[in-house]
Amino acid sequence: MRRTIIALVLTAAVLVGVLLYRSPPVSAPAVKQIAPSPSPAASSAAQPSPAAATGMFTGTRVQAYQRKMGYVFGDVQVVVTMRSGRIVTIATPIAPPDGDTGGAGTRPTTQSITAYAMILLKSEAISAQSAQIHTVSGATYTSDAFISSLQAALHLAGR
Amino acid sequence: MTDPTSWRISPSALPEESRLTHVEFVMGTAVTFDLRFTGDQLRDAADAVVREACEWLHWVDTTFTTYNDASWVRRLSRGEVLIDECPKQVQDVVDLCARYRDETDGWFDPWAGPAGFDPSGLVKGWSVQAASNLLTSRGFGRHCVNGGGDVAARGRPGDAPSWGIGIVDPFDNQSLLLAVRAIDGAVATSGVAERGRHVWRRDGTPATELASVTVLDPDLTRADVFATAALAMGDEARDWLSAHVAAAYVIDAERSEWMTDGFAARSQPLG
Repeated sequence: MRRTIIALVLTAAVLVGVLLYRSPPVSAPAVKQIAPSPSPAASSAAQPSPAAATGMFTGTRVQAYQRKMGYVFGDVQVVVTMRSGRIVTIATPIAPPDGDTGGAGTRPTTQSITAYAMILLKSEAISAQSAQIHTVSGATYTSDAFISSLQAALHLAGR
Repeated sequence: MTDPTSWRISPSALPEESRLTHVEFVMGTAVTFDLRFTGDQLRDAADAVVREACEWLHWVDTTFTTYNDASWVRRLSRGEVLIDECPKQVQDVVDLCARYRDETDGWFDPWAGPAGFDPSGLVKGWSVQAASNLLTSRGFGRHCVNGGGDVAARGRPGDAPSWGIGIVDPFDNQSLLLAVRAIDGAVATSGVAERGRHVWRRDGTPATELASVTVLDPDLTRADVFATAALAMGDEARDWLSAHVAAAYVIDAERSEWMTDGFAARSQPLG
């Protein structure tokens, strides 16, 4: 009954990451746009089929943060390169501005952003399943652990 | 068109719907809100009620936390205040704890821990249910509130006949085992990975036979408490759940899965 994550359908407005700061960023990081180039096999409609998806896809930035606990549950722009429905690379052209670590050494690593992007892509796969899933129930996790949870991924994907 | 037996609605049948989502970090975990409503002019009201619900959750956190010796609960458990001196909600929680200790034959016992009275196993579900009730009372009867895995759902979203809740695989928290419908009800899952806190049996040993218990109930407090109690019971949980709840799902340490007929009727495997 375990579901397998295989080819993922990628929409243009999906990918986000997580930044942990003790205070919110002073200025928004610069955005570098990379135009999506869907595979020639894609129809004129929005999404290429999973098997045919090839090209670089950019996620749009969205914003939400929680000041009280000192977290910024925010976003970065992630560029995913896919070939025939498989993720080849994930790049994060937007990185937190230098010095904007909030003073507590909580600047996320590229690996953690990438890991989070992978999880958010999973939320797309969840949404593509036959059952419509809006949230998840499992053992409780800490606020830190929530960030990389499926609940968080679904929450962000639904905004 | 809308098929009541299906899990999805075809896009052509979707009404215009507004949506408000929010995440609040409180009680050491995260609480996500998903409100659906028609008419974007209601957005400000939706925002206001979510803020009010979050203020409630923070008040609960401060009042009931066992991590701060000055909280009402800690002062009560040390005998520094009498129950009558505590806020009404504290008295309500104490009453509920006593009631559920009886109903679970002592398998849920907030007085049994080493540090005195600890209602944490009830407070999270109870406070999320109260938040859900608040949303409904303000006219937002289509919503899903998820407090770290304790889910209160009312009405239905615009994109499905009911709220769909994925059950996390206790052995791989990036995977889901199945989806269950929540219809004007709650879903609570208790697991051994619960914030590093073990579930203790009455004889003082940690419960290890079950990896995860999920309970469906109209009330999240009850679902939360029963899931916690059942986890502590270990292998006896299946018989007990069959007798006390309509819908439950158990995964044991060997990864065997069991569910009541009521749960099976409302769930769908994934994969």
